[in-house]
Amino acid sequence: MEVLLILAAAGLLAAGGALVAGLSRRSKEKALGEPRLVVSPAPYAFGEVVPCRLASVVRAPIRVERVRFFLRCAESVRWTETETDGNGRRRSVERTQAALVWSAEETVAFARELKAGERFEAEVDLRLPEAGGPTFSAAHNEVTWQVAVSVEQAEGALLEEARPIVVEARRRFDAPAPPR
Amino acid sequence: MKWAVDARVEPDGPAEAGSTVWVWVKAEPSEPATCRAVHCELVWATGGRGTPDRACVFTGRKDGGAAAPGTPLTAEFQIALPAAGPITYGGRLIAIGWHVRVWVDLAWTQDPEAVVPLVVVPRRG
Repeated sequence: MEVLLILAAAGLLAAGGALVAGLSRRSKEKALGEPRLVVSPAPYAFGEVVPCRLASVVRAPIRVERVRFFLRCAESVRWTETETDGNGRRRSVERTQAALVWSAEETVAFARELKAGERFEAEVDLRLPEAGGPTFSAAHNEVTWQVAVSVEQAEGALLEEARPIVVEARRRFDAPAPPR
Repeated sequence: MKWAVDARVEPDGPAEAGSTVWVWVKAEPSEPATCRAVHCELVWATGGRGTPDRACVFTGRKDGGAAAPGTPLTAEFQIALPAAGPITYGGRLIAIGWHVRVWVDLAWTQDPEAVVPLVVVPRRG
């Protein structure tokens, strides 16, 4: 009985802790104002630069250590498998798998306290690779590109946002020709 | 009777998305014969872990006729590759390949065919 009570108390404490942490994170997010990740929706070519910008007006004092921007390419696939259970019944199961196939990162260091009303801005240029898989979408296979941003404090990410971008089957005009 | 079907794609080598390729077909029977038509299709297909996706982006047909050893039937197809791709791709979970398939339409027998892989690369600009 005592053990059960201790376990229940520990569970309540953990749930309470998670709730407090969640609320604290939410309030810190609010302190940042309404940060918007701005990325031009224009389709991009391989080798081109993707300008990324995060901007906001701070609502309450908050310390920001760094802002990390990511440019990522991921593949995702779907397929169906037929499973047989112990009674010999067959059923179709939809499976999915995703893999990050390319990533670039730029960090803007802040390491300071931002004041209420202060403009909070970070911008970087992330360059697409010279070659790779353009944005592709079919019924079971997908190649997607996205820009993501993470605003971080010493204890971890405060805010994470992502925007999809379109990479065309096109390479920068002065890019080297592919191998024949 | 046997037919030798040969297909050649120009330009030889990688083709840019959005560019034009020509397909030259030569079909030669082992004895005088007639074919109904020569067909051509351009297809991309995915491979890899997921269920394959496939699309035929061009189909063409040219009237057939009589052919004999030494006087093959020839046909030419002009194909505009889609500017939006996809391109030939070898990723971690997904592979995308292109091929041209040509076949000779014969009466009452299996149609002989030839398949030529095509490498599609991003266009410049």
